[in-house]
Amino acid sequence: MEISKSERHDTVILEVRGEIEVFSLPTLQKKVESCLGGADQVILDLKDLTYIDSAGLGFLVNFNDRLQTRDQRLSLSNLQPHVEKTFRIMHLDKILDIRKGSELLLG
Amino acid sequence: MTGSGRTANIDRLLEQLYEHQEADEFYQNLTCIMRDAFSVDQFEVKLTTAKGKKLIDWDSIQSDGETQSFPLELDGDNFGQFKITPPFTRTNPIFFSFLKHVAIAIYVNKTLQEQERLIEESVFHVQALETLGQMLTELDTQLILNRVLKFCMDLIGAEVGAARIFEDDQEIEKVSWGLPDLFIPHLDKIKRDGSKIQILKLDEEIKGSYSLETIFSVPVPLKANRHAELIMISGVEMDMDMIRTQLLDSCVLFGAQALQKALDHVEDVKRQRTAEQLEVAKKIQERLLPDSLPATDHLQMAGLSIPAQSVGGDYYDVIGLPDGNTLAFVADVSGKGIPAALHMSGLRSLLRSQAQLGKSPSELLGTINQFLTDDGMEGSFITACCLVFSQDGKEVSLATAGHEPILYLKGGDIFEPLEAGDGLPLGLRASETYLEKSFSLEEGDLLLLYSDGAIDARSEERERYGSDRLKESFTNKREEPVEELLGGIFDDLDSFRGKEPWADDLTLLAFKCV
Repeated sequence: MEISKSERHDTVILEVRGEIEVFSLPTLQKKVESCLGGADQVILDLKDLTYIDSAGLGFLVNFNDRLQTRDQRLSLSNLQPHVEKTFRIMHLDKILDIRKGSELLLG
Repeated sequence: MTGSGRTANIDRLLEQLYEHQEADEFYQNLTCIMRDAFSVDQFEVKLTTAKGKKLIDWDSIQSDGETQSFPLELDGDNFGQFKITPPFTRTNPIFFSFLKHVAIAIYVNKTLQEQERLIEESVFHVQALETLGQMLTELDTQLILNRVLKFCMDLIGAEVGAARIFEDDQEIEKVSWGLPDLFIPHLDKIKRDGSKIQILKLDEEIKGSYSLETIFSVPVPLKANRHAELIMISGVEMDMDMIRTQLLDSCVLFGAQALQKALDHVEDVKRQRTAEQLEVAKKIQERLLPDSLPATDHLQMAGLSIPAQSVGGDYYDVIGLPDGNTLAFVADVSGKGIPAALHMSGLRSLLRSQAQLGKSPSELLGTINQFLTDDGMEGSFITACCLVFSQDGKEVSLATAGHEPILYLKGGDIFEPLEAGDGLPLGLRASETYLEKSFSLEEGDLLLLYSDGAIDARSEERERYGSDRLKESFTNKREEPVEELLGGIFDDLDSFRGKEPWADDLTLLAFKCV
C-alpha cells in the first residue's frame, strides 16, 4: 500500500494505492492520525485502491466517527466498482460519504 | 700460562656462562664469573638497539670509584657497553676473549626471552579464544555481556565500562563495571560511526570533572533492528597495539555470535509459548463451533469454518429452538486473529442466551447489536445473517446485518441473492434496527450462507476467487447430498488458492430442503 498526501485550502487529500488490509493498516493509521483536528474536510482518493478487508473498513468507520466529533468531514472518492461493492454489501454507504468518480477532487 | 690452558679455561667459563638462560640467573651467574675469574666486584652492562631502545640495563656499580669501560661488539643494529670497577691493573687477554662471548650470550639470551614472550602471548591468545568460545554455549545475555565487557576491559586496561544492547535504538539491556549511569547521556550525545572501534572525544569540562582520558566505543553488530556497544574508559591516555586490536576484534566477533544466539533463543522461547497458547486457544475455539448439526426430516445441512490464522473471527451455529423451529447463524467479525476470536466467543454467548427467548431473527440481531454497541467493540464490527426455519423446513424468516447475501438456489438454476433491508453490521450504531424477510422453500431448494473468506480467497497469481466462481461451484454440485456439496465447494476453493494462505477466515453453511 502507498499513500500520498496533498492539501488544498482547508481540504486534505490522501491518495491510497494498493490494498488496505490488516497488515498494511498501521501505515494508514499513522498517516491519517495527523488529519485529526486539522482540515475541515478529508478526502480519500481511492482510484488505485484494489482491495479493502474488514479490518480496513472497521478502521474507516471509526476514523469517520472521530473526525465527526471534531466537526470534520470524511469523503471517499473515486472507488473502483468492486471496492465500492464491498462498502455497499455492508451498507456502510449509509454512514460513510462515498462519492462517485472524482467530482469532489475536481471541485 | 700456555695457549691451550687459556682455551680450556675459557671453555669452562663459557660452559658456565651458557648454563642458565633465565635473565636473573644469567646475571647472577655472570656476577660469580666476574668475581671468581676476574676479581671484578661490580660491573654494568648496557645494551641499546640502533633505535635507542634499551634491551639490557644491568648495573651493580655502587661505589664512586674508578671504572673501566669496554665496548660490546654485537651485530650492526645493536651496541653496548661493559663497565667494571675496579679497573684491571694490567691487560687481561682472557677477559677480552670472554667479553666477546658475553655479548653474544646476552644477545642470545635476549632473543630467547623475546621468543618466550611471543610464545606466552600466543598461549594467552589461544586461551583467550577458548574462554570466548565457551561463551557460545551460554544463553544468558546478561552473563555474556558481562564476560565480553570484562574481557575487553582487561585486554585494553580500562578501569570502567558498560555494555549495552539496543533495539530500534532503544536500550534493552545493560551491564556496567563502575561506569556511573549519570555519565551515559554525555556519551550518547557523541556521534559514532557504529561500524568500527572508535576513540570518543568528550567535552573537556566533562572529561575533567570525571577524570577520564580515553573512551573506547566498540560496536558489536547484531542482526535486524538490534545492535550492541561496549564503552570502555581509562583515566590515562591509551593506544592499541596490533595484537590487542586483533584480540579485541575476535572478542567482539565471538561476543556478537554469542549474544545473537542468546537473543534468538529468547525469541524462540517466546514464539514457542505463543504457539502453545494459540494451540490451546484454537482447541477452545473449535469447541465453540458445532461438531454436529441438528438435521431435521425436512432439512439437510452441513457447515465448516476455517480460521486464516490459528484462531479467527468467523462463527456459525445451528440451534434447535424450544418451539421446534431451527435457528441458523453465520457471522464474521472484522479483522483476524486473537481480537476477532475474542469477539466471536462473546457473540456466541450472546446468541446462545438470546436465541432461547423466542425472538425473531430481526429482534435477535437488534438485541445483540444493542449489547455489542453498549460494550464497545474497539473499532471492530460483526456482519451477520440469521435465519429461522419452521419445523417443516418450508418457511424461513431472515434478518441480515451487513453480511454477504445468502445464495438461494431455486429449482431451474435460478439464483436469488437474499438479504433483508440495509441493516449495518453489528456493533456500529446502537440505534440500528433490522428488517425481516420471509419466504418459502420448496423441495430441492438450496441455501448457502458464507463469510467473505469464500470470495476473497486468493490464488498464487493474486487473483480473487469472487462470487461468480462461488456461484458456479455451488451450481455444479447442486445435485449432490449437502455434505458432498459443501466439501466440493471447499475443495474448489482450496485448489484455487494453491499454496497461498487463506486470505480471511472462511465459513460455509449449506441447507437443502428435502
